[in-house]
Amino acid sequence: MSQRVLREYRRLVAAGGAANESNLHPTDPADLTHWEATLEGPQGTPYEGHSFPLRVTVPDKYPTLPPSVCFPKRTMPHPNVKWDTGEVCLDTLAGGWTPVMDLQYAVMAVRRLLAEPNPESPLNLELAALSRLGDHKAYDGIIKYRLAHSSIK
Amino acid sequence: MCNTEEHNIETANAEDSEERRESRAQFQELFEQFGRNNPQFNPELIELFQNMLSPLLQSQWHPEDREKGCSQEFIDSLPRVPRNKVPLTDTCSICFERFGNDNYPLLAQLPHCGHIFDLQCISMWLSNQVTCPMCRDVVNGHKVQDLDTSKAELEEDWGMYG
Amino acid sequence: MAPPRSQRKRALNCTGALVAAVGLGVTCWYLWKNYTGEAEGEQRLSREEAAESKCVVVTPSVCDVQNMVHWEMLINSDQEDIVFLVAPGCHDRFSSEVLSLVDEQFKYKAINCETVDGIWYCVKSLMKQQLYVIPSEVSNGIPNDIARYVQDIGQWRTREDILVAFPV
Repeated sequence: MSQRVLREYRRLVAAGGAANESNLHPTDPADLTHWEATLEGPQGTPYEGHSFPLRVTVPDKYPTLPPSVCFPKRTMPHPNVKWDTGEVCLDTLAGGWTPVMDLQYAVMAVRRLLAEPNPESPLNLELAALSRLGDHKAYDGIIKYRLAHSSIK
Repeated sequence: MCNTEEHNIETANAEDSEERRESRAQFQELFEQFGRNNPQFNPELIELFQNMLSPLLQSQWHPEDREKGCSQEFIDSLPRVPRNKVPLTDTCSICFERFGNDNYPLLAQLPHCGHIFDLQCISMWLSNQVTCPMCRDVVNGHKVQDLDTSKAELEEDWGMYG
Repeated sequence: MAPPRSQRKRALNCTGALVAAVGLGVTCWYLWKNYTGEAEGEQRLSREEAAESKCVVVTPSVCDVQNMVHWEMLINSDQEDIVFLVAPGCHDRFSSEVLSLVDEQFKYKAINCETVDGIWYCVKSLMKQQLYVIPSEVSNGIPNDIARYVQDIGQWRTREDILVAFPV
């Protein structure tokens, strides 16, 4: 299925920057296995004003198998992201994946997740608990603390 | 799906109670009664049960139902779509290639929802899954009378492009 | 006349012993150098660890000592790894008495908690080395499992205890 990812790349290039708000691109156009994107924190969330790098890896059996998507470690405080590894838990990237989805769809699904966490499948237990508890100030506060604290180091 | 589910399952197993064993037995009975290989097969009910149980619990409580994919017979029986029935500028939504790029495209149509794909692409998908990639319709779970009979016209052309 | 065999043998033995002694000496010197080097390194680590990370649960008495401790000085310093978890009921007071004196860029170090459970989830999430709290001012006290998430818990009973931990 490597032809499929090549066709996606061509579509992205042809559509231009305006259609690619996450700047999704292969790390090396000669090897379409590894891609990168940048997510802008959604407005109205504690992520607003921050940019988050995202890494996308295309498996051999893509699009039968979903791409794997992760953040660099210790950059994304979120109920569905494992802090220490950057691993993302998202149904679209697992059982909910179908081959008619594409890399851009996957990236946008992760961006939507920032504004709509799923407390039912947590990888960051404390943030998920704060979200379920409805303690919004503490939830926002921990995220803002992590984002400010890590940027200082 | 994610590692925490495995952790939760281990914890749950350690605290297996009489109530859980009873619930598990009841679910197993329901899967047996309404599962795929039974006269009372009810895909909507099975999907409801599956939504109620996490995938890992399903694989623990009813491993037979985790057998994925459609049978080769079903895949081989998918109606073929003649070249002149589909705009050649249309693309296969799995491989993103235009149908018209191939002089003799082998296209297949899912019998219930009617979505069309390259035969090779949909075969690969259905060898491990049972849903339409476009609309998630359970492809092998419909009774014959539910199928759109207007598609019978397409079946007449089988021999020409098979 | 060549020296007798016994004399040659004795000379060889002496040379061998000398070589062995020198080799042993060099080895001992090398090991000693490494050992003291490691000790120095350990000392350096200890000094870094001394600047430990702290988490303070802000309850009424913590606000009361503001005039003596001046919490904003700790918050405004980027040498201090300290976070304040402000309990329900203290948000306005801590904001007006302390955060009003804090530079905007450091205000993230104060986290308002709307619930008491929220305080403890924050403690667990942040995993600072030192936790300071007045258990009598937090409903239901300190949860049993908090010790897994911090290295040390400083339980204050009186305002004087606070001043001991944070001298004026």
